[in-house]
Amino acid sequence: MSTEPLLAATELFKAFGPTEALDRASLSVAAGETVAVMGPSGSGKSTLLHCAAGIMKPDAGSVRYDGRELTTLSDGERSELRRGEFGFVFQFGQLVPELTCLENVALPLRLGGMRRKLAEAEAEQWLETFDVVEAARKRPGDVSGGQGQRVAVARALVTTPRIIFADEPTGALDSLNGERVMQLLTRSARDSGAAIVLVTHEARVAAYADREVVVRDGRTQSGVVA
Amino acid sequence: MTPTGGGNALAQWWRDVSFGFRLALGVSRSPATALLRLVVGAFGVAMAVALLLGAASLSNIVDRHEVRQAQQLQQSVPQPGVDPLYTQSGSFAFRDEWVTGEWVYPSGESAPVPPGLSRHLKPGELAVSPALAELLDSPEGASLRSRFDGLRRVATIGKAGVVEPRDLTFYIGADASLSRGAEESRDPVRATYGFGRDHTDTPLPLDITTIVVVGVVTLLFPILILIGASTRIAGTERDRRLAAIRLVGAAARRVRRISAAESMVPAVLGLLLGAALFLVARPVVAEFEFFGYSTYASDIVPSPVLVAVIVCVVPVLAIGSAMVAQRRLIVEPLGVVRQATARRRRLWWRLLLFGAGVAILITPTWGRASIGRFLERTYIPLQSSLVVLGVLVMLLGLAALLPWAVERAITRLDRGGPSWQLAIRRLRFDAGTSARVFSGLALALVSGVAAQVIIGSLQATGSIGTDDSAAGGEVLLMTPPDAEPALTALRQRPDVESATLMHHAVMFYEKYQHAGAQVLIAECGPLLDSDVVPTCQDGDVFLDPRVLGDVGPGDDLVIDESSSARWTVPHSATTTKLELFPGLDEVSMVVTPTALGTAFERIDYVEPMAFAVLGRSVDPALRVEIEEYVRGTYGLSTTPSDQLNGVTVVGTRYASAYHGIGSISALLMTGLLFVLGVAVLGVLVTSAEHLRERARALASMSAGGVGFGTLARSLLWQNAIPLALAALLALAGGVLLAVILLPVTAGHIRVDWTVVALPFGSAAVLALLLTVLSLPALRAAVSTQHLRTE
Repeated sequence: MSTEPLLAATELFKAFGPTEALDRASLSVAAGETVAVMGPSGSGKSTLLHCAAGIMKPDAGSVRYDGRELTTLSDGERSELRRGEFGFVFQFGQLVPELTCLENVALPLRLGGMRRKLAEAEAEQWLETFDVVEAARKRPGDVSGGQGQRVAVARALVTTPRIIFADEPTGALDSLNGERVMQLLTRSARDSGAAIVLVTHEARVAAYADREVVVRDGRTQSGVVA
Repeated sequence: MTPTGGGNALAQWWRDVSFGFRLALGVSRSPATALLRLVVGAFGVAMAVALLLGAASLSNIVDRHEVRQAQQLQQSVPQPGVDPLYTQSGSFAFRDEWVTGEWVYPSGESAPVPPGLSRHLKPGELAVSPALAELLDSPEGASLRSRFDGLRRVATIGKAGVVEPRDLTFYIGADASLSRGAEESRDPVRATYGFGRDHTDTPLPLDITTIVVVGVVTLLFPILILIGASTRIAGTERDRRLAAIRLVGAAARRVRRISAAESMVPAVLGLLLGAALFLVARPVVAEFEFFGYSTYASDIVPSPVLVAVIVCVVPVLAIGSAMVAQRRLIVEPLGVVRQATARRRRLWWRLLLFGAGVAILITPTWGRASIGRFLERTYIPLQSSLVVLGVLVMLLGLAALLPWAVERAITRLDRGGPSWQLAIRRLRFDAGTSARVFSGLALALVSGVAAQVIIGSLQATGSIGTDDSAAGGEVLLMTPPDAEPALTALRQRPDVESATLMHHAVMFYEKYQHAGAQVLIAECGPLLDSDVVPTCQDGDVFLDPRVLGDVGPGDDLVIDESSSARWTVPHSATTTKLELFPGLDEVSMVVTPTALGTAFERIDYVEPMAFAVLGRSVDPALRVEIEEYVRGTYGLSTTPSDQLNGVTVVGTRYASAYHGIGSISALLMTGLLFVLGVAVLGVLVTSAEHLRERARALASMSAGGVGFGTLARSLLWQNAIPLALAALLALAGGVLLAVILLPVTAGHIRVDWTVVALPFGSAAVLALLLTVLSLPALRAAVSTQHLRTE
């Protein structure tokens, strides 16, 4: 492990009106490491992930990624990071329903300026890797939940990100499909050297992580998964 | 891996735009609501485009009409090598329509062929316009056919010879006696050496321009609001889509670009659809008479410059209104949030906008008096532009006032039953959206109210249309062979208020190579009765500069070509715009008999006319009856010439004007109904979307024991409250708009109960209609299905 973590969120504070979602919460992720963020519903684990990923600004605290302070970056710079260096897998809703699964996977590459054919060829490889190539020409609404989530994982990995943020990636799946998605996600991340921040309330899913951070009432407590 | 191949900013723009197109076109396989959004958006743009293309064609319609009129003008200057074509005109009224025509006799091979014919007519041959042919062949034309007995119909007059497609015109081939017997005829025979003159463009009359401009501008607003409303359809799907794009790395600016490009697709589709709609509607529109004109479908051609403007501006407006509708959306990677700050709506800027519109509208009214009549023609475009700008700004202000008015009203409406409470709470939660949608209806109603007031007021002052109080009712001008007995007969009828004698004469200008000037000779009484001149004293002479050219006081006119007798236009002659009858509209001078003195006896071409002021009825059948009565009393000859030149109604004062304003009114009301329909569609779409979004809450209420009737009544109040306020604003705005515009259109304000009934009646009907049409969506929303969690 290098001395400086890839991502370090320190003393984060975030309130939604009178409700304090984060209260001096901290999280650090080393390159290639998988960290599970656990906690009961409403504890602030998703807010922590959103702040750490730069898609939500904390009210106070710092988020450093690869030597850069995320909280001071412009919207354009943060978007560029999300496009090139971060990958996201959420419970649902992150696929564009009007695009085919292939187009969805190619989307981050296309937004980055890659030519369509090239982007789609690359996307097709990822669909093969995740065994959903038959869904390539279908729209997200026409495929099963498990297939859709594998497409989402493929899209998260297509830009070969350095860190993947996964928020309850198996929350909408049955246990069999959930296992499959987790295996594919962690194996692919390991192969490409990507770190994972994995928000979950399931111990079974957290077991895929190297380390566990527990969030309770907006505060973090660190631990290591056995 | 970092994506490669990033290009410059322009390439990125293009990528975003094409991605937006892709998303918009992808909806064809998405949920039905997304497809509905595309269809409603395109439909709204199509309506706007068709409406604007129609308005852009108006000047061309008038222009081509005038070109054809100019093509028919006869050239009386001898041309070397050209034999003259002798012509004598004749006209008569049949039922409520004019039949006009010419006897023609070519004196040689090189004589000009009348416009619309391919060859000269031989004596006894008849050529008729398509409309006259149709009438002659119909059962209604039986009595008309007898007037053309003994003539052989050999041709149909082509477009060049028929100014308007519904004109009833004819040519009759005459023999050489036409040229020899000119002195026996009561109408002058002309030697014609050619047809057609250059024509100068004249703008539409100011009254009509103002009404058209106000109509188009106000009818466009609801369409733009419909386009805005269409962006709310399938809003949930759009929000999810945009958030997903944002999550994978599109900056907010790029998402806005993508969203704008998405809005461009319905705009472009609507543009094409609107153009198609315009082309399809042209022949239908040509069937009707607008502003006193009937027109050929081929004349309804928009000006290329205006087409270019429409093609550029309409998509921009469509995208603009879609973007304005989404302006409070903040697209974040986690979803879309609406800026829902409880900021209180400010009144000052809304009033400022409204006041600015009023100020702009008042400006041309002040300016007109100072600029003067002689500049009127050049002034009209400037005035119209200011009217357009003023109406636009004023309506924007009015549209902005409605959300404020609704917000203020609902804070004071606290008491009531459960359905009322539910409606008020709902409106308090989101008053802006429903008020904005209803402002489209309010603006459509503003146009209706303003048009109603303007038309009603102009009718009341006799400026247009017909009214019982104006100038003693309807008047008739007849040309019987012997005027005195006809006058006696007319005076015996109870439905004729008075009958007096007038004369129609022709004088010639020496300096224009003996071109003829038509002159009306009449006493002041009938001239004032018929509003030909505003004031009159015995001995007065009135000149109309529009048709008299530069002939003025002191100039000599030849009154008898054979003896070269002359009459000098007195120096006291007044220059004024004559308000003449249809059929006498080429009269350029009105002379009281005293001004002519003994010269009257020496006028070569003079024709007596019986001028009758009818009762207050405007029934066209009465005119026909009186005409037939006078004809029957004198047992006229049945030869075509006598029939045509016998008892002929030369003009009816108000009837023809009535048709013009009738069509304006009908057109505006049709437009209003249509736009209300479009606006209702927009409201329905928004309402259904609201119900869908709130399905869970509604289902919970229903499960908790709130009856369907209560929810339905709540829906009714949610529609009725903003609609009632919209009607109130429409009434105030419409009357104010009319009051401001009326000085421009030279009338006086008249507000009757129909003006008040229009907005409030429409609001009541619409509230009920919208509620009834939303009931199926409400029934679907309260289904317990929506209580299930995902």
